[in-house]
Amino acid sequence: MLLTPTEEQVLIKDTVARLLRDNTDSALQGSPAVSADIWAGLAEIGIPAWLLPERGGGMGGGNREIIQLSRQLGYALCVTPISESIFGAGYILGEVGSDAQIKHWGEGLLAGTHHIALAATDAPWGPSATFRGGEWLLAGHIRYVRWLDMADAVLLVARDGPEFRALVIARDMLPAPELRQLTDLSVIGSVCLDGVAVPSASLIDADSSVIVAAIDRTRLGYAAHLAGLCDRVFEDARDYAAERRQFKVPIASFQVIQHYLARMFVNCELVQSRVLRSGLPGFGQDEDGPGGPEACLKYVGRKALQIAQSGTQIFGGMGITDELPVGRAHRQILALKATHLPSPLRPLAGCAAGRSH
Amino acid sequence: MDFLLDDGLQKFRDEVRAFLSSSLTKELRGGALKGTESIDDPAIAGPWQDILHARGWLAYAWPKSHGGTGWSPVERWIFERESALAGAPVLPGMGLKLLGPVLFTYGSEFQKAYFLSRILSREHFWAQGFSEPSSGSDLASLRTEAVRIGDRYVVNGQKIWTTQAQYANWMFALVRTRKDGRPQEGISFLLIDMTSPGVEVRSIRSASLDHEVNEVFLSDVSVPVENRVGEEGQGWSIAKFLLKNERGSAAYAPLVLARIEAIRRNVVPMTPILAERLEDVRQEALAFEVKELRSVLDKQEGREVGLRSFASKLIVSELLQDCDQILLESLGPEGAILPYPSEREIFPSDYGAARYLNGRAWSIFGGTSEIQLNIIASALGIDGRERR
Repeated sequence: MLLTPTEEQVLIKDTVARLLRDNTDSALQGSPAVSADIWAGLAEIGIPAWLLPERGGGMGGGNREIIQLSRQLGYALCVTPISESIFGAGYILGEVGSDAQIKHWGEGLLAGTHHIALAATDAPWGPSATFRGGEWLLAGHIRYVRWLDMADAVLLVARDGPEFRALVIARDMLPAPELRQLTDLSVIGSVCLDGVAVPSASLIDADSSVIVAAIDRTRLGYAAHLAGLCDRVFEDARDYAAERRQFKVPIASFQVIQHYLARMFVNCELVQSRVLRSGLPGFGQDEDGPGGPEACLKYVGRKALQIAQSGTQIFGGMGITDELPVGRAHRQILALKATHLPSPLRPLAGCAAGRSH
Repeated sequence: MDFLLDDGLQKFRDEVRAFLSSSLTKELRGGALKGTESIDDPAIAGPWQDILHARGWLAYAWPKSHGGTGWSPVERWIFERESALAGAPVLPGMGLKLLGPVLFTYGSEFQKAYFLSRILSREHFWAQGFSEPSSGSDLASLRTEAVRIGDRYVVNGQKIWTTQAQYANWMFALVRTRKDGRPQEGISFLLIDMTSPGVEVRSIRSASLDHEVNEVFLSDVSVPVENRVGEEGQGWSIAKFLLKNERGSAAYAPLVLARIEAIRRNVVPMTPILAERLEDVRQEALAFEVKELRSVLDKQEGREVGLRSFASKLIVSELLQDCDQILLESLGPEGAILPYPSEREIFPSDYGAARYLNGRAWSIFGGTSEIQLNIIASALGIDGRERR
């Protein structure tokens, strides 16, 4: 049955779990960006290759592989750009990029030396691209783009009249972004694109189904990462409740704590099940109805926040510090819950096209 | 979820769908939709039970040797799912789901031969005599006493919250046959003929003004020893087995999904806030459906089902109560009206308040939600005991 992982999936999951266990100490879990060592380690065991499309030099890993990997990363509290760079941008590039584009950007993705930020939204607002004079003229803005600080390129999805265009653009061709830090300590950037022109070769021949699939894969990566975080928070809280003594007994003796933990467990089970459902074939097209992956991420985000709140409550004062995984997981949940969902428009100051939408 | 099924299971699902499509009349579907109780009235469920019996599918969870279908856990899941989504009446579970498995697991040859076939034919309609006025969640403290005199027990005591006892001609009951030792060890499981002298059923009117539950008074009721299931003192183990079946119905989620669709169909227009709340419930039901299926697959593939199945009763109770409340709120002033005899056709939306009020029982019967949380915590080893 499709709900049971294959031997290959289990093997890779275990390998990743070992790598993360050996390389993520508590200091790293609080670090402000992805560890170069971890990223290199993941590339060394072939994780990007496992998940990139075959045409882009990968093995074509699908939703179930995304879930397996992202859950491990979440459990280890390991913040990486894999959802955006590999599941999203790398997918579009590998599926429909030109040979030259794959050669230029894809090899770096496979080797773990390059990142591509994903500036794509299926929200009704977004930047535009118009082909004029042999170049693509950009207008509008991109906002809340994760990893824009460290990306080598940006995969931009822009409107061109009724059509959507995908363009892969070297990061240094864009104006300096306005950078801000998310609660998981990764960085998001916003850029006003008015007046920016990029070469015609930037265009990727992607139709909207590929773009939507890439956004959905990114959201699935987030949702599965959240599922891993949920398990971690639950397990840590359960273990802490058995150790922490108040009134001369472990706090797990108290029914109110037992009920908190039982509810956390039930919510973890529901989160895992919802994520598994989104990873099944027919993803987004079956009875879940349109917007399935987006709805999944919203649901999982809401549940994950409940789990984090319960975990924080059980840890008491320590739960609201940055000392323990529970506090960091809580921050990661806030970040993942909020990004890659359609957002209300907040125009960038001085960006004419942004104000018009 | 259909894409999960292999060719053989898809064929089976198609057969179930075709049967439901041809057998579920408008009256049967309509009756099920209008019911406000947690189990449909025999006037609604009875004819459906007969149709299933004629098809050989009534005891779909029983082994073939006892008149069941012999279906695998996944086939049973498909049948329950398709039935719920098609709006079939909810079958009276006391005999079929609760007592049947007890009898073919613990019953004597006489009990199997005599009682099982009569559950299927509807000759016997069963009630469950577990709760007592002072013994709800603390079931082991029950006081209804059975004193053995020769080859009979004389039973005295009172049961309460006895669902559909007004229709029942038989009741399975937990009774105290020993007062010393651990309370659990002094309990036995008896099958009581409700037509016996000394049995009195008094109705309890629900807050919804429905009559679904009752008090049953037992005064010097004589029960033959051959109607005891298992050994004397084995009642607690049998009750745990039975309650596990009561809590572990395989396909609760489709019931919730069908309820959500019925609300969407019948409440037009729904405010955006309520529509969003209903969508939140639907998302949880979608997650719940996969969770249930994972339990079914564990069972099918011979793995320990364990923890995953414990939470189902807790989850379905809350989801159905959420549905009831959203329906109630979406009806505005209509949501405060209880059904009454009317000249016009009665719409499902007439039952908003009654459904809501009756639905509060979901988190109480069959082990309260708090007891479910206790069970989950205990199974997780969360008890505060020091381990070395």
